[in-house]
Amino acid sequence: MARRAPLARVVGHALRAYLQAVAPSVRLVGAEAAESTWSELRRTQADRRFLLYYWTEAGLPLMLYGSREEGLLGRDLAFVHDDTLGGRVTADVLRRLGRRAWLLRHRHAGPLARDLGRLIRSSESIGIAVDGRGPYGHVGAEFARLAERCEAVSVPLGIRLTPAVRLRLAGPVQLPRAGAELTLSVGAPIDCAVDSRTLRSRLQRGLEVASSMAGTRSGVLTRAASAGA
Amino acid sequence: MPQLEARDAVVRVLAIELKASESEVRAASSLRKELGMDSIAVANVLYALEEEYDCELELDGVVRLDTVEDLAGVLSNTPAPVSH
Repeated sequence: MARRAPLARVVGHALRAYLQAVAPSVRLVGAEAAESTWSELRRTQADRRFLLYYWTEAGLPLMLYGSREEGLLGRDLAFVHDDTLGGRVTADVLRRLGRRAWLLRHRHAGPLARDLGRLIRSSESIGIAVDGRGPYGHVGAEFARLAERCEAVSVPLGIRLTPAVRLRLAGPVQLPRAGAELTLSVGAPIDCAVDSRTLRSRLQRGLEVASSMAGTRSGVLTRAASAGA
Repeated sequence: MPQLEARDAVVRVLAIELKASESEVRAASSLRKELGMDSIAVANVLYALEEEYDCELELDGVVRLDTVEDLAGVLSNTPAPVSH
């Protein structure tokens, strides 16, 4: 236990330093469209709590996006992380980037129940990876239940980062290479007023569509930019 | 609160959460394996107990929360609120 916290700090420090060095060269593609969709959602769902969800591997790119664009991933959003190595590294990067983090203490049942209860009852909007602790690329059953209980507007966020370095750090991590393009797509909000199994399937499909949209948008906008140059 | 009283309270709240009858919830029942609860459901039960008994359950040091009896133990070890 004593060795884990320093390890998370060291890795977090290295990742944050890398992100800060590379960030200025990363081009945000389609940010205007993403921000416009987000503004419309905020307008039509005024006073509602939002639950922005994404794949674990999108976590660091999204923080990078948030450090450049204050709208969608602004400082009123708290990112949820757990106390696994990957989660603590994420928390460390968040802290160093001046972002807010919400801890879920997964190690023991009592603290986890306390943290989940507070999360469910909070009115704060949150960003959360839905495949944390695996299987990656699949919406977890517990996340579907969390979305159902939070009674928030669940919005999938898809990203495409290219070129990227892909690492395995407890979970999958994507880091931009210098000059990379980061495309963010805000998917359609998911109607959570259904049973858990249907909701899980909807959340999965919603995120797959948003991720696919980010890929398509990335290609279209990049080609348009090349043609205009 | 005495352990027996706490156990009855937990069984009652669990039965509501699980939409089951109280006879289906035994003290030795495993929350996850037998009752099919995930951590979200456990969190909801804990908060339902807190609301009903107007207390804050002491959870921070609780490592084991596997059975109905474990939940009853948490409720039993929580001091009653000081009334003003």
